[in-house]
Amino acid sequence: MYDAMAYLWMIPVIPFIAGFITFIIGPSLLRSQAHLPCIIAGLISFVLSISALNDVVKAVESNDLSNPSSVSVSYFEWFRTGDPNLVGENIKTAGSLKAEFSLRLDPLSSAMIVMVTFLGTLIAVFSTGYMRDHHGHIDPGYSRFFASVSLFLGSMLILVLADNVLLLYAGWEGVGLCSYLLIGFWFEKPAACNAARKAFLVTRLGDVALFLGFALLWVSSGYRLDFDGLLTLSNYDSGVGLACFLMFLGACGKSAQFPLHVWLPDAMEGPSPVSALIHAATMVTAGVYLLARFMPLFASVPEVQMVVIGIGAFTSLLAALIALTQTDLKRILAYSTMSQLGYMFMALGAGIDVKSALPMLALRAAIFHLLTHAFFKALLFLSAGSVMHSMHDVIDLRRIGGLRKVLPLTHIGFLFGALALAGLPPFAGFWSKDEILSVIHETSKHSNYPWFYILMWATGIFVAFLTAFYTFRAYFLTFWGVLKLPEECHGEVHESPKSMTYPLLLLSVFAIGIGFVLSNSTPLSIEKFLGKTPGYVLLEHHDHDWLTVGFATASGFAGLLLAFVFYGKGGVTLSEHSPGKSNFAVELSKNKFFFDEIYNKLLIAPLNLVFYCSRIFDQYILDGVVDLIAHIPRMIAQLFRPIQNGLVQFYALAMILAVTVFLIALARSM
Amino acid sequence: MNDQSWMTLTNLSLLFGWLAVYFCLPKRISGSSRLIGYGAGFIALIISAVQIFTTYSFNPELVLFCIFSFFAVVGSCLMIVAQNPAHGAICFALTITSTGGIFLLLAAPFVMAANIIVYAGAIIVTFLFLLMLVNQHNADLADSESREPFLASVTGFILMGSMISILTASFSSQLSYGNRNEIELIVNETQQALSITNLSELKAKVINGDNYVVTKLKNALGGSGIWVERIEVDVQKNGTLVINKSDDIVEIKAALTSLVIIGNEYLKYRSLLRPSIAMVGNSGADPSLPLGKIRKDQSGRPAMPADNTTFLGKLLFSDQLIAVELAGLLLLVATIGAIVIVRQLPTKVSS
Amino acid sequence: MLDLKIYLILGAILFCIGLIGFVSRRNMITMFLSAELMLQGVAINFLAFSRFRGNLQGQSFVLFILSVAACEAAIALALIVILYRAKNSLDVSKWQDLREEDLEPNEDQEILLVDTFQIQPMPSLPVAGHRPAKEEDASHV
Repeated sequence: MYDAMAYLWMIPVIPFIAGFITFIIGPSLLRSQAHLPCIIAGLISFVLSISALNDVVKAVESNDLSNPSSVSVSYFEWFRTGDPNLVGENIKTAGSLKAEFSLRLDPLSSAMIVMVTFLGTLIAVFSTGYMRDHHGHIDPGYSRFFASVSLFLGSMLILVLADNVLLLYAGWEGVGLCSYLLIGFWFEKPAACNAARKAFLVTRLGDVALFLGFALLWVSSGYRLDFDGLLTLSNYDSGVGLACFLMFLGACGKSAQFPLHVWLPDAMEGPSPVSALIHAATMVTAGVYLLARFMPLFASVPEVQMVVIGIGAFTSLLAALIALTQTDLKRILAYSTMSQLGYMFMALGAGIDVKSALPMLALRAAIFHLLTHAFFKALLFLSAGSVMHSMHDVIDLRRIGGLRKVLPLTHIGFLFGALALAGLPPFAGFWSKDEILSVIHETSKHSNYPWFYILMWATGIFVAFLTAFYTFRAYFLTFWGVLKLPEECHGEVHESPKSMTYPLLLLSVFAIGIGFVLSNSTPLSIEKFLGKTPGYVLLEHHDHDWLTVGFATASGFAGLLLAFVFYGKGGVTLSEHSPGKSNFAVELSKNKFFFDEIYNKLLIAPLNLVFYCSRIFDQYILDGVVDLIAHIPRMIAQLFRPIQNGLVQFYALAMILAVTVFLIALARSM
Repeated sequence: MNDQSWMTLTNLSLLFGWLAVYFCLPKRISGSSRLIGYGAGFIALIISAVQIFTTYSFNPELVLFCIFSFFAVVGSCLMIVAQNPAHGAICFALTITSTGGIFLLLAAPFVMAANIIVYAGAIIVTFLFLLMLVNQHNADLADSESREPFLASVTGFILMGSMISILTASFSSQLSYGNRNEIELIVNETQQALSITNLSELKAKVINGDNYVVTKLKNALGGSGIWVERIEVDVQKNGTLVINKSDDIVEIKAALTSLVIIGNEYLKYRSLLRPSIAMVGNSGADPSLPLGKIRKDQSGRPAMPADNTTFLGKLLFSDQLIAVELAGLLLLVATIGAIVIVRQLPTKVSS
Repeated sequence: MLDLKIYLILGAILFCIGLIGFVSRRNMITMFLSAELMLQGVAINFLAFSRFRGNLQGQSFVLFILSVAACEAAIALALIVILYRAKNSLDVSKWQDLREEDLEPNEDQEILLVDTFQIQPMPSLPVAGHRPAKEEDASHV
């Protein structure tokens, strides 16, 4: 039992409270100080998370069986249906359900909450500068922004800490809602509205699959909701494969994997800190977290794992190819995020044998890359946000350039982030990317289909090369060459305020160091730490795969050099300004492989036809019948309405007529 | 004159009366049609006079009644067909005066006086209004046109016809109301007969030649109407069950029981229509008395109190004092109300 | 010897004639007089019942009817003044605002067979204190 369990519930609840406070009193009382509740709550949660992490670390190091490293506590009963006598372990029918607000602290969740609260707080600080204009005036939706960010933090922490699938699903939907709110933050812009809707609807598709997967798990595990019950393979007799596939579809929606990837690039319409926090570091990694959490189940169904790794590799390659020709800085980073998430799925898909150490290896690699990627991609997005802020919201690479001198601190931040993303030693991405490629290489030796995993591995190496190339293409085009400013700046450029640059520098330190610090070679190794997560096979010492390291590093440097050769001088870009040279491949890449268009033609157009037919049916047939029925009383009334002619004498006459008829009837009966 | 020919003549008279009113009612195309109306009215009056003089024996009351009712009816008809409302008001005065004569015939001198005083005042006020309001240079179109003259006159005369036919039927000798005492007697007898267990004895009791109990009750109930219909349905089962031919004592007893029920219901509901004893006071004959037991005058009609007006005053200021006070209050309220309604602020007048 | 029936029939006749007048005439004062006529018919009924029962209650009832008729006359004439002020006419057909909203105002639907219909001018009172002008005087001036 951890000491932290006493206050663990506060970690998600405090940001929620801060969010509601900001919603209620933010616009009226706090105004330009509306960021305070969010930052304070983030800090408190961060400190509590560190303390919780410390407890877990102690427990892991003590290696004491009486002090397990994974503990879950139920704080209160959330809801219950069905027979009240059939609760808890006794539930054996689908009619009875008992859900509790129970949180779980183990190495995986503790690492995640530290990352989420740290990045959340840092990005909130960055936002205090970003959400103001150059004269220090706050954005009209300032308090709304921080309220949404607080709610997002709370939902994300619920998602990570949840100990049953229902609570996890609640957090999952909560972050989806906050993502919708924040993408559409500038709702006056039609593009932002459309992007928000698109993101919400596309992820919703995945969420449906996810819920079905959870339901299937619940049924086939003998009506268990808690992770301890769900992750015990002996509970199941069948249905694991389908449930895992459905959960993977849900993860695809949230983590922007093919075929549900189309929302992420559009989501860049939101403010840059949101892109950094939600669409790079935390929410989009929820899918990775989900698969890591259910790793024991996934590892038992190698067919699904092949789908996972295949989709991951395909998305990774696709996104990298699209990123090659994009000219919007944030979009390049968005495709890069998709690509890196694909990497993580590749890692997760490599864990195929329950009995072997492979699932553990795969999980460590994925989570390791998740953490390093969170830091350096947040750094890149914040740097891009800083550029955007200085350039008056212009981040078209064709219109800016040579900013190295005018934005020195931003330049440093972006450079370190790019180096980390490109996977060059000794920066963060190098360590985690090598881990992933090594795991895939290792898996190919154990699998029944070695050629498949070799192919995946080669794809990974190639994507590493592409990653280095497009990252440094963006870097060189932005910061090198002749100074080129958009006309919106009116020739004046200032470095961003300190509230923005200090987080950049702090994150730069992490981007440089976190990979090495968490790698195998140090006492803080994330591998050893995560290895204590229950349900996984403990791993013996694992050597570096020098072949992989060599290939990956070489491809990274090759990409860097190639980018330097093409774009080192900055300025005019190869394809964009020379339409004559464009060929089919470039067009394909520039237009994102026409996925939006294909979806429009294949899915939306037939649906529109169905809608049109339904509308015709509703409007002319259903409504027609209803109107017809409604017309009958009206027509009858039309016969009698002239009686109401307003002439009192006429009314008197009608009365007399009635009396006469009555009298005649009376006379006849006598 | 029997009822049949009476109703025929009445219908004829009503037809001509309707023609008279319809043709005389102001229409845009009056012209000679008024003459037709006058002729029809004349015929109708002649027919009515024939009816009256053949029905009732000649005496002074009849002559007076004919004179007064002639002026009343003619005056009222002229009033409703008058194109000039001032003429209408004069005709109304004629009608009021004639009904005053009728009131006198009905032994109500005080009411006659009050009526003439009140309506004379009313008519003078009406005249004032006419002088004040009626367009004095051009006749108003409203006076020379009627609203739905055909429908209105037809409806009115059908109503009149149905009223007269109901009255005729009510006072005809063929339809008499049930004799309470006899019905009571028959019900008691039947109730006693129900306790008899011997079939022949029971039959002898209820069927005794003319003394057949069902026929007796039917006669006592007046020979027709819904009570007799109920007997035919409930007791005789539409004629299929005849007690004197049945040998089933249970069936006979069931029929007799429903006969008793019907008789008792009749007594119960008829008693509801009797005036309350509490009403008896200074008003004259006791309303609860049977008609035959009322004190009669020489002509055979019920005698009114000798000093009519004195008794009316006693009645009003003793038995009906609260009603009189309330009527006075109503008059006061109406006076105030009329003033309040007519009073207008100067600004409103200008607008 | 007259019986109850003939008096009741007379009451019914007066009542129905008043009814016809009330329903068909358009002058508000004539309508008011027609209503009074109906009351007269009812009063005859009450008095006849009173006479043929030997009981004075019917007569007292007629007195109440008289008082109510007086109230009615006061209120009705007051209302007529108000209505006349509003439309400057005694025509009751000018008041048909209670009709259904989209119905046309009710015009007289009687077919005008003769085009040369002329409204006869009313005999009018002269102004007090002036000698009324003779017809031929007026025409020559």
